[in-house]
Amino acid sequence: MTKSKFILHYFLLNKFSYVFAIVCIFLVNYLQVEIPRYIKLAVDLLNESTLASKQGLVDNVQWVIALSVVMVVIRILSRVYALNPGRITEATLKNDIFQHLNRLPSTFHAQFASGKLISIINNDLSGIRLFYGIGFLQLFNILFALSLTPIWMWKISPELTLYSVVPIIIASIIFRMGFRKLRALQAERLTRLQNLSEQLMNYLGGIDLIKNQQMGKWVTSELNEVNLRLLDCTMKIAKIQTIFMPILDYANHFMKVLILGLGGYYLLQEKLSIGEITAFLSYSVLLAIPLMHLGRIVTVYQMGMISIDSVQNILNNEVPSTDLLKMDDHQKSALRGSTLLVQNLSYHYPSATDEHSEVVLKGLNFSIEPGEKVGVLGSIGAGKSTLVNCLNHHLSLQAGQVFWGGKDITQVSRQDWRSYVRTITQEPFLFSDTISENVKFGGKQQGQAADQLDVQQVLELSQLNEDVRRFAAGDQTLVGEKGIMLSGGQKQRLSIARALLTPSDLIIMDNVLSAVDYETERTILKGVFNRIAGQSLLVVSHRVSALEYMDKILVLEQGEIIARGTHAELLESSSYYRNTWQLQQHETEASA
Amino acid sequence: MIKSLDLNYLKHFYHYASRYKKTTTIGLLMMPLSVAANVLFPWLVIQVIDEHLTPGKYAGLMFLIAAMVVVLIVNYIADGIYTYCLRMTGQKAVFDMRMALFGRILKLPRTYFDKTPTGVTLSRLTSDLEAIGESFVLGVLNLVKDSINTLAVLIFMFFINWQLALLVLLVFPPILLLTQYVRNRLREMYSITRSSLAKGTGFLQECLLGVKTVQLYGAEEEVESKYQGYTDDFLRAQLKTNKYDATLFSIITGITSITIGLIIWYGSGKVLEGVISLGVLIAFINTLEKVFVPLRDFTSQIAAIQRSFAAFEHIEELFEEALEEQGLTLLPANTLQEKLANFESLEFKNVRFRYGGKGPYVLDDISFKLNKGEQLALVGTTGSGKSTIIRIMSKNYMEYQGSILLNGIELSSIPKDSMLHLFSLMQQDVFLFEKNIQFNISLGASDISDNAVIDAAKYVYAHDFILGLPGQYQFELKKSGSNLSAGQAQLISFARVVAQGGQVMMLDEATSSVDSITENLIQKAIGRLFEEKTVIAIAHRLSTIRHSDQILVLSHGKIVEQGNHQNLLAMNGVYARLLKTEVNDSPILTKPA
Repeated sequence: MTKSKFILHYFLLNKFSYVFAIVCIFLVNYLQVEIPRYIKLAVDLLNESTLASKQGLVDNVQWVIALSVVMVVIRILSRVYALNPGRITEATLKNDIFQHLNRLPSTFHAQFASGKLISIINNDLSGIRLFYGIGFLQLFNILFALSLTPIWMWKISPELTLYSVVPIIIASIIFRMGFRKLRALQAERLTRLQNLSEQLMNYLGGIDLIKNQQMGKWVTSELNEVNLRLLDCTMKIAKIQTIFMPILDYANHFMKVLILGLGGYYLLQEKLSIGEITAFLSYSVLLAIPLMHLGRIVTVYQMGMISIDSVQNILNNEVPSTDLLKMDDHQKSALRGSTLLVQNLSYHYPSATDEHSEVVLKGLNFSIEPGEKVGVLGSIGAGKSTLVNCLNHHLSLQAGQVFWGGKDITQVSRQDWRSYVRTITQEPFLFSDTISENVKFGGKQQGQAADQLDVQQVLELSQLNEDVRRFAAGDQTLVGEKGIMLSGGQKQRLSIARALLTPSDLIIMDNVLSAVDYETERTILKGVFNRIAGQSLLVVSHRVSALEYMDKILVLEQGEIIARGTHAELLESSSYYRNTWQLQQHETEASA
Repeated sequence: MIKSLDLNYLKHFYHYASRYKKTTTIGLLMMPLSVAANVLFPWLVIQVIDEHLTPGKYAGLMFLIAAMVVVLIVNYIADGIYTYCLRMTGQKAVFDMRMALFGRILKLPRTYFDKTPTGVTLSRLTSDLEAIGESFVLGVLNLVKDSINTLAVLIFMFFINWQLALLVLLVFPPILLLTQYVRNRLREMYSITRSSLAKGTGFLQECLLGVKTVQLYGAEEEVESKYQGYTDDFLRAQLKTNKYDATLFSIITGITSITIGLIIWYGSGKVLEGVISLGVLIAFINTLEKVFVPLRDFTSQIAAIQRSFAAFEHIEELFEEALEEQGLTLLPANTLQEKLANFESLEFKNVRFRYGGKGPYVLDDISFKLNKGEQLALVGTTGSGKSTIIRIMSKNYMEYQGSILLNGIELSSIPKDSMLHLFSLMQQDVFLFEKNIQFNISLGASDISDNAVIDAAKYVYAHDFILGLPGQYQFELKKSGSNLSAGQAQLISFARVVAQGGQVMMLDEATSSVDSITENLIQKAIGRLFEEKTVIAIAHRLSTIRHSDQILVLSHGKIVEQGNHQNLLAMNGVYARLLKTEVNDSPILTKPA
């Protein structure tokens, strides 16, 4: 979306509110210039002492009061209807951005630190709220005030109107100069705030390490530097604001001096009345207030533009078009329980130095038939996790390499694809919620209201039930941020339970049992085998013991499948497999 | 207008702001100048009208006009210095508070981090402090300036004509009452908005950190609807706030014109009687702005200050949060320096522990002793309390029962800083800085040379893969080491433990996620460690710990078996069974048909 389209799109969201607000703003400004006219009439009647003049004076005063009351009511409406859209736009954008972030592929998230994203959503959206709220209100206030007030002034004295505009013009020019500088500084300040957020986020994430390694001094000095840069920028802004911002306010005072001096001169020449000078003084305020706000509105506009850029930085990252293709139920069920076919799958991570980026996967070929259990054995850096992340389409891969029931998975939306394939990642991510809620995570979307019974069942299968029973609050125990209250093994078993709760066609386990002992590993695998009898399974591991009973084992080394077959076949045919097996059998010989 | 409770929140801000007396004094000295200029201006207006315009006298008018210009210039300069200097004080105080809070955070106990999401702590240090620096400082500066000026102008008004001044004052009580009422409503709203914002931000952050999980589980819409709930709460409170704001603003703006009407109506009789001059009446009408505009702005300033009070409340909470060593009777560090220079022994005597002081005991009656040069291994199923023992040793959790003696000194009486140098800890969760590999191993310690880093990497067999990376030891890691594989990240963190060179190595599940060939290399490295160092290890591969002097077999927080490998084997109990299942791959898996 272009910037102007973006701006228009969110304006149209509240169009009726805005139109009503414009009408109210106009009425308020009209009343504002009318009231001094009655004041002028009243003051001029002061010099006459007839009975009629006294009555006229009272009439005029009554008008002043009545119009003021009406103005109050309309002003309330104008502010409510002009400012609410800002809030509504902010809330809408928050949801829109979040929705967008959820759908952007891993390549995006690898680039953007989450601290930065949060800073954009919290700080930049305030800028946008002001733009769509107070910015809009002040724009029209200023437009109407600056067009109506001079007309009413002109009616009294064209000459004095022209002269009194002089300080305003001078002030505006000076103001603009300061403003340009301010704009640049404010953008800089936002960046520095973001840097601060990111850095703090990083340190808070590693707080245990920092404390245990007594790195307090180092992080404090790093933070001090970022903090100092922020202070420096803030004070530069303060300086500009102190020098340039009050200029318009003082222009108003100079205007009053001019009106008194020049107006006094005209009065002595009997070109003006004292009432007219009074009205002029009132108008000078009506002219000055919007001018003061002009400063604010320019700020709001600039900040808004900067913020919109930031937000567009996120929103303009396009969600891959294939991810927008939703399959209907019929298409979906047709692909249930299909074969996964991997054909000549190659992958290399996109990197800055493209020529040297290493190929991680090289021309892999294999298939997983419905219900087949396949194992992948490989050492560190062999490409196991990359393979997993290609199969579940976490990484953006080329078309024509991975097929599901004959359909290229790059042509299926990721969300649809993941209703078939369920990945249990190596490092499970848990939400700071209850155990039960974490198990049910993702289940709501599948339209399956998982009841308590099912949660119990999968907890049992993943061997977590006994641990859960020992917690005081059972499965209502809060696991803390990222599951901090649980041990590594408990986290892994919880993530297995989570994956088993809702049905899927292919379960991928990426080295998930590394933090549990062998005994538990066996029991869990046994449970998984029973539970998912009809579903396909891909187990990635560096432990042979986890793979022995697979229908087929692929041995992955440096991105290539160097051997394949059943456990027994591989012991015969692959020296690598045999060596690994023997290393892991090491125990037997030693303890015998 | 500000309750005493609120003032309490300012304690720390005041403390830090009072360090900057110079800027504060200069700023405050400008006040009288500014007030004088503010009062002189309307006085000059009266002189112009009554002495020159009404009687029609031109001579001397230009002198008065020139005087008005001078008054304005003085006012501009005085106001400028006042604002700039005091903002400087405020910003520096905020700067210091940020550093002070961060310093405190580094000393908060693990329990604080267990119960507080990172996002909340982050917003204390960023948006809350921003609210103080911007809303509070600016709000208070303007509030003080405006209050004093308004007061001065009112006194001036009384001086010129007390009846008219009284008429103006009559409008004050209803405005103040209204302000007070709205203030209370707004305050409620702000606390709602703050909390829904914090919850929303916390959740958002979790989802962003776990975006891969969200996507892989197809849970996009599920988390979105939850987030939308927070946004909606926030929006509803905001819209209400807006309504109150608009009402207050409009009524106070309107009251200016109504009062002008009243003044003319009342003043007209007096002018006719010759009691009040026309100049005074016009000066009053014009000066009303100076009284009512600040009165109107009070509300927005108060709103801004209010917002910052919610922030102050949060900040104060963080200042009040008990530090991990607060309230403990600790031995003075200097007396310990000698005794803790080298590791001698660590002894657990009947130690019991539970998290947060409630719930079931995670450790129950644990006793063992580890001497210098010995190796201790912790074995047991997940959740048996192995990691907890290490967490207690490194003083991440302190409220244990029983006795833990480090070199014969009770652990709870040793300041954390006096003992941490003895330990090098490798945690379950690998944490990597967004810096290069060199830094992630040395952690910026100046006493660890480049060669020492390389040696450490070689020690754990990480050197070879590091050489394969672009930039080698200068290879920059991305957030949480996402450009390394899990095993590589673990190797780096292993090298770090070795490089840090503590006398006691604590390894928590050190070999998980590493493939068997690399694992085998690590075993060799650990073997070396086991020969040279004092080690406490949690490992699932029993081969790792076979040569330990002492093996503790834990189950549900209790020690069920204790001894060396041979003894335990001979016992033919839990350990022997664990070993058997690890070694003997009897086909317990049922193959699906």
